[in-house]
Amino acid sequence: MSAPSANPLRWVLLALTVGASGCGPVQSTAYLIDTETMLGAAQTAQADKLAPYEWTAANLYMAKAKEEVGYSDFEQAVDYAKKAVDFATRARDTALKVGKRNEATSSEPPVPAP
Amino acid sequence: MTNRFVWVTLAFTALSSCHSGPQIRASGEIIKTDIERARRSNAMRCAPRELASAEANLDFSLGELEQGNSQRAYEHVVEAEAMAKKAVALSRDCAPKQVVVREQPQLVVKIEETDKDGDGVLDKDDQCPSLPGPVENKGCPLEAPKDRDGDGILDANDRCIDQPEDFDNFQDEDGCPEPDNDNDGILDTADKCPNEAGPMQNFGCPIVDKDGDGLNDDVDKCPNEPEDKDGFQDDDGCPDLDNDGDTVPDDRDDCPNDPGPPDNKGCPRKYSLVAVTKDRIEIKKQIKFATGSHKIIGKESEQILDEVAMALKDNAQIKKVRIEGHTDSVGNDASNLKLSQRRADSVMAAILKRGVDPARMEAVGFGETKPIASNSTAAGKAENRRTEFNIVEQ
Repeated sequence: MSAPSANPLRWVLLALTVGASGCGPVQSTAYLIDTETMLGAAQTAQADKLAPYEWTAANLYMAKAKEEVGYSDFEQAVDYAKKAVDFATRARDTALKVGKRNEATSSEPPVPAP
Repeated sequence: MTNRFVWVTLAFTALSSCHSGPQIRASGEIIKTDIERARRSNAMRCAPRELASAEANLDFSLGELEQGNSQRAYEHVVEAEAMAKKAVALSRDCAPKQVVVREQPQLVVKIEETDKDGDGVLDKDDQCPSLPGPVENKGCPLEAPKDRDGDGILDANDRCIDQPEDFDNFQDEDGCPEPDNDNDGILDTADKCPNEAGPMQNFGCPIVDKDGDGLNDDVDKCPNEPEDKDGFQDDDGCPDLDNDGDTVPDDRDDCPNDPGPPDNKGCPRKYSLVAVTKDRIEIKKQIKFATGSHKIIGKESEQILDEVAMALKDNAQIKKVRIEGHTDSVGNDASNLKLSQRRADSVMAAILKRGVDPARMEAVGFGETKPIASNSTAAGKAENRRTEFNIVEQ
């Protein structure tokens, strides 16, 4: 029980190391997870068909974010990930709107009772 | 020397493969132009993936350029350029076709606040927009006042709403007809005096005594001249200012009921030989003629003629007197008739000479046709030979 408190400097150094070296990847990873989640939601809404512009942009930005993570350029990766989330959100919203509009136009008028 | 050449060649190749930032930026501007053109061509609909890829890669290239990675920037520019051109190509026929839309003539709906009936209530609030009416009745006319008998007097003021007023200038305001204004029992249509009560015999007019002589006009021959009531013909209602008609007014006539000359104060003159009666001027003695002649003889005959002429002058009321000549039966009838005519003419001429108007006289010979006594005796024959002055008009 006395080991951590016996060497408190070790914990401080660990925290500083993690804070200094892990801030960018954690943040970028979090955004990338958000992006994938939003893209999954958009795909459920058939954004790949109903909102191809936003869907394509979201995927490109997510890929670019991942690429930047590979280059350890986390700041750029976060920027791209944010844009990817934004496009994925728009893709989902647009897909839902278009889907509703298509449903409304394709629905047949009710046949009056004889 | 060879190694040196190799190093120079490698350096040149390396430099030539590098892409300068301005060059990439310039390419980016061109791509941006293409992207805008593609957007205008509706690439969002016809080439959404290509458009998104072009824009993203352009963004990536600028990002890489900022990071100093010109190579990766170049790669993205190339990709962006390709995608932009593809987007332009795919959206070439995607732009909305120009459709000439002819403007339909606009239907101008003029909304005006009108008041057709001019009653001060706007038509939109007027329940009777064509009929004027007060605001309190929502623009509708109040119920028209009734006049059931149509006499022009409204029922509210008409005491006889079912009987039209007769408008005869008698109580015309009450709305009731007055068939007998004066209530004399004679309908106005037959009443000569509809507003004055009067008996039927006077045609509905009141019997009055206009001249105030005590005789009502219906029996007054002179309703406008009062009777003088002097005991002479007082019942006719006419004044008799010269009762005896002797031209002397009664008020200056000492004998108002007996005719007399003015120089005798209206009193009859006293004649010795004649007497004026109702129907004749009697002569107390006969006028004498020569035998078988018409010549008047004797002083006494002249006196008789004088008095007859005087009597005629004194009695102006005698309008005409007939001078008659009569004979006895001696001789033939025809000669007697002629003789009597000549003698009557002779008397008339004698009186004419005494200033009597000839228009007041006529001479007629009757011969022996009108005896007044027997012709069988001398006395009778003497009576039959005579001259008479009969009043025929007065």
